[in-house]
Amino acid sequence: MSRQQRTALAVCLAALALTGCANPDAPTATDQDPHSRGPANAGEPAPPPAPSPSSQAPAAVQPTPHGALAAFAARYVNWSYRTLARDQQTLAAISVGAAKLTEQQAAARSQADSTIARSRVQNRGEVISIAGDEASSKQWVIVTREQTGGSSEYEGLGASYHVTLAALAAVPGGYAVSQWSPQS
Amino acid sequence: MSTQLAIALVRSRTIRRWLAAAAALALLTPVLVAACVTALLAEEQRSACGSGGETLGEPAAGGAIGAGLYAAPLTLAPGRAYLVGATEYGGPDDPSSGNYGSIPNPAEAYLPGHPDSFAELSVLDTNPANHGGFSFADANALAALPYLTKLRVSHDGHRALLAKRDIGYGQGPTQHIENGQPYRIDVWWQAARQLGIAKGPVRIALAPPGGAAGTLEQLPGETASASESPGECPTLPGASEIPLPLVPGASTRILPSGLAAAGAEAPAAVKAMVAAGNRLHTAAYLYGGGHGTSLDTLQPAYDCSSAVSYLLHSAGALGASALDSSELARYGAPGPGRYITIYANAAHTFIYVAGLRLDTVEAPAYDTGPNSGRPGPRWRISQSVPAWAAWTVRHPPGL
Repeated sequence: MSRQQRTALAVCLAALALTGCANPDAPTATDQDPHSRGPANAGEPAPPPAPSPSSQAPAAVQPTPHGALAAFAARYVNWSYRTLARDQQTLAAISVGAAKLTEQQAAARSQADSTIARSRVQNRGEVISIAGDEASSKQWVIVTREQTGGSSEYEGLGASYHVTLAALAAVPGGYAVSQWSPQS
Repeated sequence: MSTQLAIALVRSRTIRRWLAAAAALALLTPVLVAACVTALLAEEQRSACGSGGETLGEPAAGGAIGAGLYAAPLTLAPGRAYLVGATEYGGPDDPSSGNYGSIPNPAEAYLPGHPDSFAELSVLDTNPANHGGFSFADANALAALPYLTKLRVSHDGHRALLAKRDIGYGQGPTQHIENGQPYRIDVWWQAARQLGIAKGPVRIALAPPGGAAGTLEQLPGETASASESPGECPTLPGASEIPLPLVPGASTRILPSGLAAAGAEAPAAVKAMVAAGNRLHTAAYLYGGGHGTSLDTLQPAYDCSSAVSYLLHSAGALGASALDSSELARYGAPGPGRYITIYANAAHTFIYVAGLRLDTVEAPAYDTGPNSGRPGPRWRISQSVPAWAAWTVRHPPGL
């Protein structure tokens, strides 16, 4: 093997070693949890159980579960194309966990949603009922009645009932919505 | 003499104003013409790709014609309008239609009490009623819309929301409107009179869903109803292997195949990222895969950070070398982007492209959709952003 070949081989080996070491995607022993995931990607960390969102402080806390759900629902169903992004930012501020992340992203997307703005869409609604799931005290069911309106294809739509599943987290001073999953 | 006249004219304030206006017009005209041409071309492109609110131009028969049909059922895509044939029925001039729809109980409706009604017609070669019965599925001209589906029907400057409360056979194979479309709906006479419909072409479109969640596309498991065929829309540079389907709006939507359709109104960079995500559809997961090689070349396997890097690179938002997840946690600007949001920490990263997540990890507690059970970099559906770890949220500037 010539000197040039040896040099090239050394460079290749060094590059290979660096590629393998420099990537901090590397799973650690504490990351592995074979019981909490579906199809495995060998070498990739498994999703651990969701962390308690109680450490995240929402901007406004309701003292009761019913109050937290009602406040979130009222903001969720009452908006116009002018206020939508701002309302979603407020929803992110008063929620925790997955609901917070989702509303943060929804707010960012709404700023670029030309369909909503072009059709001057607005949504009005009221909470009809809030009930806890008997089988799981962590899950709540919210029924709303909503009227969507606007110009173009949104003109003249009728009012309709909608169902949402939600979860709450206990936070200092009360409760905040941690999951908001519209079903219809 | 002529010089004196010219000087006198120039000294006139009115003449000076006219000369200034003429000069401005001469300068601005080419700019205005260019702007108009650009706008018209852009509108034509949008229209051709289905992004307009009132896009027409479906094939006359709606697609391939199956056995026993004289035209193909037309599947309506949300946000698109279609020119189809419509007829009027019922009322004092048509006593044989009675006052009730043809759908058997319990869906039978008293139509005079619901004048905003239409019947979906059939594109079967022969009328099944002649051989014993006519079923709900036989009314297939609009691919057998569910009962009470609402259509926005427009004709002659009038518009109305009509609900499907009836079915019928219709005009049969011998009649169609000028564009070759068959008669697909029968409009109850009270609504037909308001719309000025007797027999001829009307414009129809699916009414949008009501409610905040439906309007904001936040319902679980929503999949695009658009065809996976790219239609007339051009594919983007670098997407030669898989044509990029487009759907109305700006959001990315997952298709039943597990590939994604880009929003027709999304920026080109977003469409490029959707196309790049589709190219990863057959890639495997390999820790370290996609690192140490150029992102210009498609690799057989990627890990979480190289997959995210590949999408960013496809949009020109990253160089040709993949970042690791810690680097992606410091990438770009903080917070969510209008279209693109990266979630990263030292152990993992994933990316949202106009509302749809590409992730090498399927989180069973969150994910549904056609890529469930398929490891590797895939488009994932979840009701919310996976919160199984704390993420640093970043986005490419401008997106």
